[in-house]
Amino acid sequence: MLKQLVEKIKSEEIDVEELVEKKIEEAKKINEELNCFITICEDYARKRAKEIKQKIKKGEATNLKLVGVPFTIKDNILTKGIRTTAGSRILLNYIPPFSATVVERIEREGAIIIGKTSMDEFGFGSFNVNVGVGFKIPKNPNDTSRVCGGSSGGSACATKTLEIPSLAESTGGSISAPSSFCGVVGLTPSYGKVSRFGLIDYASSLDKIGTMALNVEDSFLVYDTIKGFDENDETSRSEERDSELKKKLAIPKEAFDSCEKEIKEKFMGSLKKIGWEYEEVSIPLLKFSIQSYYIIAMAEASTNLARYKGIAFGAQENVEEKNFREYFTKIRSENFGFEAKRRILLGSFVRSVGYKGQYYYKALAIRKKIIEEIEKLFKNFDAFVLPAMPIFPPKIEEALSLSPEKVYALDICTIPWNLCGLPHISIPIKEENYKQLGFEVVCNRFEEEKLKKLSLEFENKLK
Amino acid sequence: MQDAELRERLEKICSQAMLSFSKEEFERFVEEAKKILELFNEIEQLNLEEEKSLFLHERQAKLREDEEKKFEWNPFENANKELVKENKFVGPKIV
Repeated sequence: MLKQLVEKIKSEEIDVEELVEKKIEEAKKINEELNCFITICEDYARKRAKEIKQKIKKGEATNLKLVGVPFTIKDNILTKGIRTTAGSRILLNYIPPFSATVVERIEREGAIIIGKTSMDEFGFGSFNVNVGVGFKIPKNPNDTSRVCGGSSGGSACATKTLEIPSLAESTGGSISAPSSFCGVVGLTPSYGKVSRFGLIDYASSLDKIGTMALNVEDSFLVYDTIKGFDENDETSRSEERDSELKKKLAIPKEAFDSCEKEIKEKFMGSLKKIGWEYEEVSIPLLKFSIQSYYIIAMAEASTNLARYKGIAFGAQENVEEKNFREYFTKIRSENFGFEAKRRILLGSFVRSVGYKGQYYYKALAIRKKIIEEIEKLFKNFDAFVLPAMPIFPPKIEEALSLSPEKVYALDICTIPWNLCGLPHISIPIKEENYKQLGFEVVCNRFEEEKLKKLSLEFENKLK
Repeated sequence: MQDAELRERLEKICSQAMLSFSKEEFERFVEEAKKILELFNEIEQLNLEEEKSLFLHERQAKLREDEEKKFEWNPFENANKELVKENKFVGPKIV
């Protein structure tokens, strides 16, 4: 538990410099086998540990919530002076001149960043196998022949092995999927509840920064530190909602039916342990959430990635081409991975004249309709519950051989909630082998307090 | 959409997005794009026209028909005469 660790650091029962040194050594060791880090910022971590130790000695750390806690950060969240690549060769040597609001907020509470974690390039993936050109695929700590899940695979892997929290990010399920595959708790807040300032955008209307930790309490402790309005992000909110507890859960039929038989059985066994009333509900439009999500996400990604041309952002080379257009094309073609190129092109396609109405506007209308339908259902239920992933972690070669449309379809358990901006959490159903599964709980928008209550109780019953 | 039409469209978008592919990569991309677009096309069956959507009205809006106007501009019109020689600006070299 982080609270106990923080108390021990404050009382100097644990030496913060020794703790950080130990975690750096462990991180370096596990990274050789699991590839979960893109950068281990050991010098920065040591310097911070020294500063924090001084603060403790001077009695200036008494009120800090995360004092001395080593952290990992997904590599698409900016960290001042620490290389941030978003898992892409096009940003291979990018050193941000400022930190994201979430990073500033945890550091203000005394957290110590020890490294930046592996991810699918710009977050474009469900298994963390779509890594950028020259990057390594992270491996599942429970079975190294299997995937970590994506796109925040490195964060989940590091949280599981180093037993420290991580700041991750989800666009369509990038926190829940790897949390489910690696067996950690992954919390994705409501869209707007956590500032996106300093996040390298994938799809701006869908991106959310969240947390990964070993248990629900720690996840919410970190979440409480990063949440709330930020003047640098106009979409951020401090709003909180609460509704009466009905002790009634809903299983979304369309998503649940797509799960493997063993997953369904395991999930139903867990649901019985919880002992709450539940009902299967059908939301016919939910099966179109995949199309809606991918059309919107690709459309937004294609505009967000237009800035990487080798001038203001991105890799730079000597200009030997005849004109800038050729130079930009060379830089972009050589430094973006295949999946990134695919999403840029299909995103441009669905936004292009003649197809915008057929794809992009229709996708927006579907999203609006799904939000309305789900909002109505929350009048009768506290939360949706379902398996966080419809399959167990596949082998790396299996994941690489899957066709893109099949991979996209596997996101059915996570996409609807991300599309609607709803808060959700994946709680591990404990298993010893690679067959890890997350028990996903989804609450209504801005009902994080209710989500906390429910998930603390469910975690206890699932032990 | 016909295969050739899609191929032509994607080639044009590649150029606009400033991305190039090797021949094999482009073939792979076209084949996979077809399947992804088939998946996307499933939303055609939905009739959301009656929805009071914020977005659908834009689809029905007609584009204004623009008239082509000849652009006439003489860049030397207001320039100091001593700075123009043989339809070119003459000035101090900027280093």
